[in-house]
Amino acid sequence: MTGILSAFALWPQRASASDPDFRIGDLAALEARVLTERPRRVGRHARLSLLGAVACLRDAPSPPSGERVGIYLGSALGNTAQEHEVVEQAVAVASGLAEGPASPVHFAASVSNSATFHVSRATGALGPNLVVSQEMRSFEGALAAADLAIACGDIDFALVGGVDEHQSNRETVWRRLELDPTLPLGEGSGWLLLGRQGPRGDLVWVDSFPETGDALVARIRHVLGPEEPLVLLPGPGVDPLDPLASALTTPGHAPRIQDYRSRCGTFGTAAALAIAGVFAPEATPGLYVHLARSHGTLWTAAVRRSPNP
Amino acid sequence: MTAAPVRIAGLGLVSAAGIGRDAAALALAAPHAGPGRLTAFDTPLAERIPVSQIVRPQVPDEQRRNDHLAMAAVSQALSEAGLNPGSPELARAALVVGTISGDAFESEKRYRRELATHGRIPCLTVEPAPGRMAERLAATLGIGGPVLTVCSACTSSANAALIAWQMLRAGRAPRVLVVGADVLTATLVHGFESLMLLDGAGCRPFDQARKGIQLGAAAGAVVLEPAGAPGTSTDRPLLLGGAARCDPYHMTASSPDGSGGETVIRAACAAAGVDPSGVVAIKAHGTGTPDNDQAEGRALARVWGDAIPPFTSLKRVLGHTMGAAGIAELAAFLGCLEAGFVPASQGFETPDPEIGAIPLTRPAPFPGGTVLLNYFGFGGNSVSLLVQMPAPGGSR
Repeated sequence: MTGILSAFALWPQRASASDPDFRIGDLAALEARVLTERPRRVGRHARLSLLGAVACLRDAPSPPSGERVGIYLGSALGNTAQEHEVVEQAVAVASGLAEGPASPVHFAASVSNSATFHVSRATGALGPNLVVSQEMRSFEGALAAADLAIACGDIDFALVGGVDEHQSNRETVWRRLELDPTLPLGEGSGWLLLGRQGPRGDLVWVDSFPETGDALVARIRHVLGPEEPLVLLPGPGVDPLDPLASALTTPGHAPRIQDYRSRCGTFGTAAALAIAGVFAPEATPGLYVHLARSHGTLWTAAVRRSPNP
Repeated sequence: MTAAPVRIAGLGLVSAAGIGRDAAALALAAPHAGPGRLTAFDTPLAERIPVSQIVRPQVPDEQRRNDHLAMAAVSQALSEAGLNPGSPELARAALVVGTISGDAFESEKRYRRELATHGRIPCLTVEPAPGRMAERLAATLGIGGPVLTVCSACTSSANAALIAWQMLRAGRAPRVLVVGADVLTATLVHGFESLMLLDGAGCRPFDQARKGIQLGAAAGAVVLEPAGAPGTSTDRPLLLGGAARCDPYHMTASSPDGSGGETVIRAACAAAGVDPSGVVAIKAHGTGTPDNDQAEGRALARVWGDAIPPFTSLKRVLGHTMGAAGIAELAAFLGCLEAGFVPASQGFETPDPEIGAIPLTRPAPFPGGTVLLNYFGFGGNSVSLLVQMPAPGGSR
């Protein structure tokens, strides 16, 4: 089983009670506190990624670096703001509506793995460097890929993140990800440092189950320790009052439902905040299972927080 | 977990050279194959920037371009592997896709229409997220296992192949379909122009006069299955393994001394259980940019000294197909090897003393053996794969 060495979650907030969405506030101030060198000519997505990854690594007992450390970033929509700027420039030039060329700075910053490049530079993680984009389960995809690489012995450690940036035009998010347009949207940067053994806890599984939930219930019951608390983290497609919770209830052993999306809104990789948040100082030990439902399938990631992190 | 080879059960390719890897091998065997005029969309650059675009199959207007081309490549790979869409075998299979463009062509097409109607307005992408192409492919094919999309610049589908290799080694799937697909877009063309990385004469990998890349479009597909124990004879190519590394020297360039390339090549050989001296031919990344080719040539020299195996770049014929390059170039290169030759590195004429290494200037006979395939990308992404090829004529 893959261990969790450290975790960090950069949560957004509502700017005011009337603001429907959640955003991360003063990035420059956060960068001044966390980074030794502020990145130049990068977009918000890369800045969020860098902040989360560096903070996560700094929290590790003995931060690893080098070729045996991989970076796996899940992102549903990537650096959309940069991409929009480049598309606007490129299509305008191609259509004869503007003089070329496009901005090389914007183009370089719009590349899908710009964020992981900067994370590698800042952390010295020189192993595999991947961006996984699988819609609302992009973080789970990155987590599964990192777990696989460790299980195969191809790397020893993996910095695994889930990062998506808030879009000022909300339509671009809910249409691209087929979300309910009334949902509050958010952004965030959640990271785990995985290794063969972790003082903070374990990655128990990343797996999919039939929507009926029976197989998932059986798996949870199989791994749940005697008296171990069970916490469900309902993600996209799973209502906090989902019948799954009652299916998992046994006498004297009801799961706790943690509605994390009321803290961060909905975005492609909100699961990363939920799972990294399990290892925050105020959280308690137990088995935490994140659930998302789409295409008739339950997509799940389960982590165990150790009693004495 | 020990490294274990996996069997390449089927390959598919759609490229500027035509449909299938045989067509690519034919074009790569021709002495002066090269790029053509960009007609996929209107741009003033079409007059002076040659590209490798796909002419066949034609994509109906109402279809998504990447999906259509990917399905054409997938159909070939499944057919060769003896698999059918909707079969029980595919219901248990995994799908890993590498792409950087996704539905970007359709997004640009819509934005052009909006610009024509409304004048300059902000771009608002409403097309699905990049991972949706894999979901659509999986639904069409009846793939029921894990589905994953890698968007890591020009190594996307090479990285996808490595993930598939790991899935098979770890027993996470009995079979994996890997797809790489990317099409030409205005964003790519004008973006690379802004970096002054397009060669108006078409790319000239490793040539002293090289000035940049030649963009291309392609879709490639490969079916990977577990092979027998290491060393077991097979009539199919084997993916022996590989490695991915990050060389964060610069966002758009590898370490000029070749150390980044050396690292990934040595790591890949170690992971595959191959001594570098056992490599008989190399498909270089060979983009034709001054930086890449210098770094890659020096990386080869750092590993092999004066005894670099015959190496070649396919990009004068196929173009630089971005995230698709991993699987597309794998299919095209294996097509040549199956036909009994290592193709010449077209576009090369004059050695560059700064590189020192000279690619193949004419096709070389290929008797079988272990080959290396290199892929490098923006963001320092580096991947090397090793494939063991049977003697020509035995794999189909």
